[in-house]
Amino acid sequence: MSQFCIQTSALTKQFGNKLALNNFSINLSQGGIHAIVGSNGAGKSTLFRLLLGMETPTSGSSVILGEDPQKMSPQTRGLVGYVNEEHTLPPWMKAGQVVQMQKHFYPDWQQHRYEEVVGYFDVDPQQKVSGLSRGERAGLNLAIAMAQNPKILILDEPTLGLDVVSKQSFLEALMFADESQQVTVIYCSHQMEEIERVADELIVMEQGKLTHHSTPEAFVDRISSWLVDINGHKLDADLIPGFLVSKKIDDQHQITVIDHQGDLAAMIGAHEVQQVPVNLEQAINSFLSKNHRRPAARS
Amino acid sequence: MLELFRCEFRRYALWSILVCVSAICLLFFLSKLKPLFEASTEQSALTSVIMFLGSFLFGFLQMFLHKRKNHWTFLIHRPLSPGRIYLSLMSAGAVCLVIALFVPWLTVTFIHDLFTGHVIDNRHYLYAFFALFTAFFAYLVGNLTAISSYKGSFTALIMLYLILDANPKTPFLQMLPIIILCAMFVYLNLVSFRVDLKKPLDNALPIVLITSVTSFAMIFLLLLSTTIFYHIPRFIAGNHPDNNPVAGSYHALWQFEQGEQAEYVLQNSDYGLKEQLVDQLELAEMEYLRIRPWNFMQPGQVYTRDVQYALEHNQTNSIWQFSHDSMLLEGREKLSSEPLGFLGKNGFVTKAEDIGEADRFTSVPFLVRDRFLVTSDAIYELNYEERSFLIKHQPGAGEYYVSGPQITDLFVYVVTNKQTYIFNRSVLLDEFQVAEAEYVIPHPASVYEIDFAKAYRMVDGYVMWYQGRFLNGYDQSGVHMTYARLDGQIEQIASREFTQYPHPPWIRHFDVMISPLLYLAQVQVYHFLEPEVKTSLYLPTSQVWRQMEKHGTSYVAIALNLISLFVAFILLRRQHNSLQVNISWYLMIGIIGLPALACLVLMTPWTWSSPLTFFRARHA
Amino acid sequence: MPKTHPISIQIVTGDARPIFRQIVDGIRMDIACGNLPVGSKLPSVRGLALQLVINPNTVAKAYSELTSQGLVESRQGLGLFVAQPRQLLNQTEQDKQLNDAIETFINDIAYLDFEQDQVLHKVSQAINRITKKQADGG
Repeated sequence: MSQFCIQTSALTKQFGNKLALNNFSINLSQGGIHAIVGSNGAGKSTLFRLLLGMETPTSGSSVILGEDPQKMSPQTRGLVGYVNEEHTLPPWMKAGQVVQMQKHFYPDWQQHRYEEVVGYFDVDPQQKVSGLSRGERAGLNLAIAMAQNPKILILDEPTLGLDVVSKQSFLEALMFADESQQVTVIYCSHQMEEIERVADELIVMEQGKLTHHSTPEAFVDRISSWLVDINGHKLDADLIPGFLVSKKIDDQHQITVIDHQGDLAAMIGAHEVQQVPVNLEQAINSFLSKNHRRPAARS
Repeated sequence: MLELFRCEFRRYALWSILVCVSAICLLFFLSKLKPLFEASTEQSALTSVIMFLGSFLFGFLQMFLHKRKNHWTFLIHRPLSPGRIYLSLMSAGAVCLVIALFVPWLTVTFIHDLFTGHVIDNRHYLYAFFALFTAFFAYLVGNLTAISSYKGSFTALIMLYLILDANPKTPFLQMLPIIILCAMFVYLNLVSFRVDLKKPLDNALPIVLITSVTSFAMIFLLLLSTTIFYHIPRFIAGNHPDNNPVAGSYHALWQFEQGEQAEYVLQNSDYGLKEQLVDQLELAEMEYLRIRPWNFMQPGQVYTRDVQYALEHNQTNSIWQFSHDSMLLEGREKLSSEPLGFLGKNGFVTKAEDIGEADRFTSVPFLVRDRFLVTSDAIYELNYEERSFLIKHQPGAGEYYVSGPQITDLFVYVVTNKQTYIFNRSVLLDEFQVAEAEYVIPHPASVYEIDFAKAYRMVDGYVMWYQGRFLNGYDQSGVHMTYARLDGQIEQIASREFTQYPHPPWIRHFDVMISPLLYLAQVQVYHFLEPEVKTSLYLPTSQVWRQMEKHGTSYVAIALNLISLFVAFILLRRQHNSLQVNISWYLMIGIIGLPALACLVLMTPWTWSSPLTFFRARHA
Repeated sequence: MPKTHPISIQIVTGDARPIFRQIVDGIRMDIACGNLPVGSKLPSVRGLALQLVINPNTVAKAYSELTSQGLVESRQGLGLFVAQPRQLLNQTEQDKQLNDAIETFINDIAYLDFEQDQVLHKVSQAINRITKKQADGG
């Protein structure tokens, strides 16, 4: 098996006239938490569904744990955990019954890990799933997924709608219940502070395309923000290579650019240029808003 | 697998038990109102509709609930093959059906058997199985409708109509088709239940199976479509033949009065006294005869097809009910349910041990009035007081009754496959002796091609009127008139063929034209299930085809088939199917024609984005 | 088994500095101020990650940064300990860092109303405080 646990090459999925996934190629190495960010409809869920074999790609191919997802064997399926934002579990069953059921399917069930994860949440096994709070359900779902001893764990916005306490428990359980650190976690979220805390790798998707893949720090390093004074002239963004977004603050402009090079002041004729620090959230927001503000933006 | 089954069963267990309990209560309540196992069209229609619709909806809902995106992932994304997952869910559904439908019927039948005087045969128990399998079939179709990307899946329900409509000769033949269908649909569901539900079928066998089954429904839908593109436009244009009868056509008969009809038919006749006859016929008493063959009851048939429940004799306060197990009538005292003995082919038998094989009926009799038993080859009369038994009438060799005796104020008409017997009422009803027919009038054509027969009573005999849409062959309507006189002389006085047609041939021959081979296959299936019944549907194929050639519709049929193949070629070219899929489609469309093409269209994923990509497959 | 010295740093999400940088800075400051004397044991990677609710890999990264800066050292099988201060930078690098720091400092105080003497005095006082603490801790 190759060093990558997930590989996609030119993966494309078209729904009608809409390209949900467009020539998406990525290699994910084993281990670590890979965070995927992108606006709604960027194709994250489509990617997951393709990786799980729930959809057939229009073109391109992918390999997950050495197998074609469309022909994934049940054994390999058992090595891929999946938790979605709804935390779907059969609502008519008691929490304990669900666990009993799932246990039967996984020969490598790690009861201690299940108990450790579920320990972060206060799940009563006699409670029906429909009666669990959102946080408890998320916890139960994560506990089941992690007890399956997966090689890959796909989490599709797992903390959506959770309160602060559950969210924290969820992240703790996710990061610390796996003592071996061998699980490759693919984590999709809109919560930047979560990504900052958990992500080893950052994957940015836009309109079905992969637009960035590195560590979060390397990503922030690419983005720089400047406060410029151009004496009330109109800002011509076309003059700035890598321009992402600008914001007018009083009579100054805050300009955010990617892969900044050269003398900004000379480019736009500003008499004063001052760099301002950028955090991950700002970096991602600026990066993603590029396409929203300027639909005709050059690449 | 077992775990998943248990999980799914838990979901519906309470509901099925509730249905079970309420069904038992309802059935017992019904049995207080009337004998529960007395066939009543309303009761069986209602139970069928509730059962099938319920099972279909249950099957649909069950899969639909799983099909929702995240639920689907939870269900399917586990180390278990999709086939096994489906089998777990399906078994849970089947167990629910057993609890909700089978258990109530079986319980109620069993309790009737043990604690009441009603005759409960094996066939009553068999009905519980039959009902279960038909419901299971509806359930499977519901499953398929939810999971399959084939938009015509639900039309497979039409098979239920065919199954319930057929009157097979043996219980085995009763059960065989539905069991085969269930097996077929379990297979279809298994191959359709895949991780990516939108992926179209990629195997030849399931395509062939589903297309053959739903093509019947497609014929029906295509027939319905003539309303839209033919009948309604003609009604709107105001020239529909129903409002504007075409002179010289069979349909025009309906607008005439009795006398005018006779005049119309007699127009070209050589009969000498036409005018007088028309006047006489206008005034004559007329009786429609029961000439359309009845479905004679088959031993062991499902009870819902029974014509009568029991013979009730008020003077002796006795009830006689036919048992298919013993092929005897079993009597009981009306109030006390005290057994009163048996009644067989050779008369009354008091003790069960005295019954000989010769006593047993070989076919199931109709019970007429309170004392006549009619089998297809004899009419028996009973005398309760003397406990004796008489063969009142028997047709000749090779002859059999097509319907029960028709008793009017003065006369009794009995129709066989060859002729009509007319008795004096008093001879048949009042005297306990062998009845002699007053008139014996042979049919001018096969009884299966006659739609109506009328008997006009004249001073010196009868004028018989036979008419049929296919009287002279496929699509060749006609009327025959026969004069039967008291002296036994029988004279054909008129025979009119209708050469004018209200509708063009492509409408008249539409059902055969759109798929000649399926038409033939349907005929063969009916022949297999009920070899004795030959209604006008079962005309010889060669005859049908000759008539179609005459009107040119046979060429239209061939052209339609070729066009279907061509359209299939265009559709299939845009999909990237395997060779075996394409070959099976060409084969099916080559054989079945237009209905199979309709299946292909409904199975092709549509994209509505632009007219050009209308039929382009979503899956490249 | 040496006892782990607790670390009282706080991390802030949404800060311009990545979390691992915040940890490095925090521990450096603690060592500089003498809160973490030489030889004291740092929490394990997992322990600190648990404390801060962050990815253990981030802590590991911060620790390896601190190790490469020579501020902490790992003892086989025992964990990480605050190291004897020693210089890992060469003369040129040290010059550059000093110049950078002075430039920033001068920028910051340029518009303040202090005499040069006053400034120099305060600077030398601050330097004395650090050296004294380091001496005490050592």
